[in-house]
Amino acid sequence: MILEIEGKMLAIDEDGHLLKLADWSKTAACALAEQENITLDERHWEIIDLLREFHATFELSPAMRPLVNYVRSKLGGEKGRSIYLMQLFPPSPARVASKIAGLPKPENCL
Amino acid sequence: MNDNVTDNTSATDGSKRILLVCRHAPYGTSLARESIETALAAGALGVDITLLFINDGVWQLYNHQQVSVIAAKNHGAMLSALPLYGVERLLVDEKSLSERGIKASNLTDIAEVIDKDQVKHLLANCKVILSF
Repeated sequence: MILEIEGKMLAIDEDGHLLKLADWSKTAACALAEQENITLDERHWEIIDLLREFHATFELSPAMRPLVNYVRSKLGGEKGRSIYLMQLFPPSPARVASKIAGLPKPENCL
Repeated sequence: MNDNVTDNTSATDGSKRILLVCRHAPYGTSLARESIETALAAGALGVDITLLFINDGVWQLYNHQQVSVIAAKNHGAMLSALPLYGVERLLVDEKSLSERGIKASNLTDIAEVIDKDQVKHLLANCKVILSF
């Protein structure tokens, strides 16, 4: 499938995740977020940056539990909580945030 | 199960855990990949799981895996995510390392080296063993 963003044709899978990491841009992120009815602000970007860092380090898209642990280790306990991530990326933070961050769908995301 | 048996090597007391035995090198087959998928899923579900790397499985923990030439994902990098999934016991058989001339310092630092008696104890005491 194809997603058109500002004249660029980007390949996506059946769940709307970008097929190529390199296709991701801030503009693409905004378009992907719009599909999830999310308007991105700096709180979202902070998590998106962390997700891309997680993927660059471990070559994985995190499931919920490791995502919470990772956010806690980087940003502290106030933000490293499921409820915080749930408010930013409803209804399923690991899946929705991975999608907006241009990562593949978490494989063991239940 | 006898909970009264005390054990001074807590790292290898696996009586209540699932033990995943990784025996093969990464990349040649899908076995290593399958084992990490199992560990990640178990971790995401909060299951208590221990990994034992033995025989050629010790290569999975090797620090310098140059995967760009085969366009594969870095297995060692994926393994190092396991603590974030709540999977914190990655044990390595000392004998398998010395047979292959691998130093513990060449392994990812989340791994703990154990000797052959600890390996025996671990295998004898785990109720569920999955072999990959």
